[in-house]
Amino acid sequence: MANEMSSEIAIPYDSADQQRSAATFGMWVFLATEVLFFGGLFVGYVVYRYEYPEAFRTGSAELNLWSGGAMTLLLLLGSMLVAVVDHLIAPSADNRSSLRGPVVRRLVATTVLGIAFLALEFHEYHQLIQDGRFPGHAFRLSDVSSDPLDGRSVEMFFTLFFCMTGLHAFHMCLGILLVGGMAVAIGRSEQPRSLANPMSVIGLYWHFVDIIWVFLYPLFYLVR
Amino acid sequence: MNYLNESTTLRSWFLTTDHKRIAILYLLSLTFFFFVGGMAAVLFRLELITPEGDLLSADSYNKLFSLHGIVMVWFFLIPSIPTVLGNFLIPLMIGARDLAFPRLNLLSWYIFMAGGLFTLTMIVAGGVDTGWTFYTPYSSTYANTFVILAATGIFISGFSSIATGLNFIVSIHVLRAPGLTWFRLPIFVWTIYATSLIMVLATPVLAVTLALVAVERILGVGIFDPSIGGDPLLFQHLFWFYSHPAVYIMILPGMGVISEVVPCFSRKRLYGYGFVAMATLAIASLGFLVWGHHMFVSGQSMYAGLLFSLLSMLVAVPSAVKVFNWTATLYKGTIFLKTPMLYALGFIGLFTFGGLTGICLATLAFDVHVHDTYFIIAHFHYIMVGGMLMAYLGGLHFWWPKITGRIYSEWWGRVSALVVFGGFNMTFFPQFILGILGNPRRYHTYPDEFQVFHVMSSLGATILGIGYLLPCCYLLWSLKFGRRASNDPWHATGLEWRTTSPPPKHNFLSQPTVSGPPYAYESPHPELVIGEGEPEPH
Amino acid sequence: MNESFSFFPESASEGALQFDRLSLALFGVCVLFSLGISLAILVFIARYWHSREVDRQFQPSRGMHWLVEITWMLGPLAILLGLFAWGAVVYIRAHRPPTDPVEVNVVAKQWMWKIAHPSGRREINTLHLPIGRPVRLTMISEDVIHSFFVPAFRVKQDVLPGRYSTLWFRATKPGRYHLFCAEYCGTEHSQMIGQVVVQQREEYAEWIAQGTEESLAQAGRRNLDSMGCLQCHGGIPGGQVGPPLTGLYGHRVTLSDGARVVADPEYLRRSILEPAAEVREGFEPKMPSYDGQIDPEQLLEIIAYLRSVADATGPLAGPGTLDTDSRSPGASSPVQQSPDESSPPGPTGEDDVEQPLDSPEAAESRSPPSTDAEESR
Repeated sequence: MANEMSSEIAIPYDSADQQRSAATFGMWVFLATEVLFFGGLFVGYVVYRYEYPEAFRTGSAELNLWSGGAMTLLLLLGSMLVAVVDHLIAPSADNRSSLRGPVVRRLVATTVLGIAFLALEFHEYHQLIQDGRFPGHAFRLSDVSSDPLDGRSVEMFFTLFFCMTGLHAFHMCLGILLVGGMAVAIGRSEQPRSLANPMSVIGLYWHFVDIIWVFLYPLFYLVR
Repeated sequence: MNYLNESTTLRSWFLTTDHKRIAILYLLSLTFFFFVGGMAAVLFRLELITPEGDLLSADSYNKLFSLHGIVMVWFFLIPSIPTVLGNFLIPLMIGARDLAFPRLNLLSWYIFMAGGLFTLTMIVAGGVDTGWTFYTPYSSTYANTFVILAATGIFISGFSSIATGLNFIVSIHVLRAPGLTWFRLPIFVWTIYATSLIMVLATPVLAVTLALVAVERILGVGIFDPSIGGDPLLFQHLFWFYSHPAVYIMILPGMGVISEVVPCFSRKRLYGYGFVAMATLAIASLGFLVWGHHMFVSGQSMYAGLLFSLLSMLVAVPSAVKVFNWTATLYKGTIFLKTPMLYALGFIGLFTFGGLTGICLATLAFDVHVHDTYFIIAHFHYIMVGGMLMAYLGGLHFWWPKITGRIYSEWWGRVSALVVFGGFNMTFFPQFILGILGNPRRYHTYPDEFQVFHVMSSLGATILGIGYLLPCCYLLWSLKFGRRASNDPWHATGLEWRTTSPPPKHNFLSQPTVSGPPYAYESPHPELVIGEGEPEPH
Repeated sequence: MNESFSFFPESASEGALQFDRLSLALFGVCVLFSLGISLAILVFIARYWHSREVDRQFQPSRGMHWLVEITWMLGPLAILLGLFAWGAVVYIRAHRPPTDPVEVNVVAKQWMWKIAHPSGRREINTLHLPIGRPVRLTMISEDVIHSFFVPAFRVKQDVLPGRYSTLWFRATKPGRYHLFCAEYCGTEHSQMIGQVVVQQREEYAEWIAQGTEESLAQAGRRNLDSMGCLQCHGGIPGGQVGPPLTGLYGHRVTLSDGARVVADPEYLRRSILEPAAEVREGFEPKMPSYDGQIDPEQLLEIIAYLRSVADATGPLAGPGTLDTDSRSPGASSPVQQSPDESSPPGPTGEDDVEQPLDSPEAAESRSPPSTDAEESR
């Protein structure tokens, strides 16, 4: 998609306006796809949470509430910065002074926040894997509680946890690349405002990835 | 100069962003996949001539029908009309120079081919024997075949579907020519729009489902296998949540083609345009609510069965509306039975019968008996092959002069339409009877008393096979020897006929505008001749 | 198309007749509409052929147009709702459980049907049934999904792993009929076929009595004993750790979270394999899971036993006559209502009576009364 967002008017379009609305609309349609993509997993979550409520309680007690909270904070902060950038760079903004510096700084900060998020997430993955919580043959739970709980349904919790947060992390990686790429592009561009269009599309994507996490965090960490 | 000859290097084809060239790339790849899937069908139809398993082993038989299903559903039927005719026609019909995201369009072809390559690798490696439905826990735990390869192939090609659908939706929203309001759009555009919505909203669910099957296979975690804590019905729910709407991905564009062809060869406005357009959207949205009718005997609750049965009945209403409107279009028309029209009328007949048997299947008590028998096979082949494939061929014939600039042999065209229609009925009608008699599907061997119907079916399949080979021959022949087509050989309306045949690289030499409703056919001059082409220059 | 009307398979059950009537109506609708549409198309083609000179003036008014469209929406809708209702009625009737059925256990695996009758007689890929009596199958799969399909009865039910499916029917005509697996289940799917043999009652009674030493309920009791279940579930007043097993089957029970559920076979199965998931009110979740230690057939036997003591009261494990009685369902109180009147009285293990059940040794020593019983499994 990023390829489609060059500043000149591409062949199918008559005007820059038309091209901008196509790009934005295209991103919205893409996000609809994404919602359904995660939707399948959310349905799985609901079904198994209903089937194994105990196991989900046990499983979520294994997760680090504070690290998850910190991760949420990082993402929300990042989203805010992106929203500010979007506002700064919009063609309608009448700020005539150089905006390259402030925009690039904020984008770099967003990237750093994203990387910090991933670092925390992978740290948690690492811990869980070391404790044998990664689903599969190495999975074990015996040291958690003496409850005669079916270990397998706790494994289900972790399967969903790794699948859903893993898929989210994959989206985060893409988002970091896109935002980072945008920072470089704006830093090099003579006319940062010409990149307002791709910036707003990438911003949409970034917000979406945030929102997914805003659902994942309570589902896995908070609901106990 | 046109899109075909403006540059002829291989590079110019493989790196093209021209929607018309991409349509040709799809046409060639889909034809290839169609014959791969068709060969599998030939082999197992041969096997089924006798009740014993004498030609193929049970394993090969299972792999062949799985291959047939996987290739035909995901690498032929789902992409067929959208990616070939849709790609070629949508920009032309809405008066645009290209789709909204031309490079994404090319990318989606490459993604499709990558998915296809995985699937072919799977075949060469030894195949998969789960059927195209991949029911768990057989696919996730018990099958010793290349499930992950096959699932990866489908997973990848799903992104091609999504990209294509997204491209169409945005194009139709943003790139319509001046004056082309929503209710001046040809029905074909409406159906592609509805299809795209389904592609965008349903495909990701399938992708996730197949990914979970792979996770279960790789990690041995019970997601769908109950012996390790999973729920096998969850798979069926997720699978059919995609795969039932996918049926409408397959049939809606076919309905679009018919809605173009019938008015043209009746020289009359499409009857009930608004109703047909709205029926399209109604089918697309109701299609998301009926997946449970594939699961009446699966062990879901009785109340779920009742609900899904009722909703499935409702889908029949907009489908019926379409059939009635097409038929009414013929009334007081001026009817020409050219090849595309023959295919279209064949479509109406077969789709109607397929749809009516679908009503039988939506009736709970009836479905219990015929579920997973040949009745199901016959029903969905009436829709997908009798319906979709007839529409695809009809559309290909209708727009062939526009795509290639040549006129094919009308005589051979009519012969092929009749052979396909006859062969099709002979292949699949006996299967209805087999189903009622209780012959389960996917049976390598079967009790002797069913043999007579299997023999009829296999004979019909032979005729059908010949019917499919014919167009390959005379259409190819027309490329070299066919007469040149005029810009509008059928005297059809629609923007695609207001440019040269074949169109220039950017479709129109000047931006077309629209000032009236579609299908502005009027009772023609009595001496009207259509489909004849220009006098041969050489 | 009309030929298909006579192409029903033989019909040999109550449901089959209802099905056939419904099918005829459906085929009628199919033929009516497809012939109607085809005829209309042919007539229009002939009448409005391009070279014919006919009146082609057609300017329907807007109101007329809407009327036509609404008519052909509501007309089919009415027919569809009618068909839905008819189909639903037949379907619901087929789901209403019969009273006093012959309870048959079916265990499916790749690629065979293992069938166990209440008398303890077992067979593979063949199902013997009496004519005129409702038969209820409790089915489970050991591996993948199968589907139990008898065309002559017009019934089909998927057989899932990890969950009981039930199916019932009443055969009306003696004979041999196809039994198919209808859900694709792997390489030998098409070999997973068998026969349903419907017999006159006397013939069936004779058949069912042959070669059985131990009824299913007895086998179930033996399983309970050998696994030491009755140490906790014996229902000894004062000393019980687990809920008593008498008067349990088919009754409502209250769980620790306040929910009330019926102790049906599915609940009982879960309680044995995943005891912690649904704990009875007033009991501690102390029971270990028996998943992997008990095969599906044994589990069904235990359920058959619990069914046989569904209306009994009092302790099972205490010394005394209860034990004897429970080993011969169909004999005297408190074990009334044996699942099948035709099941022969099993051998009464008189010598077992003296042995206290509470000790593990007792459970050990209570091995099957005869080696034949072991073989018959």
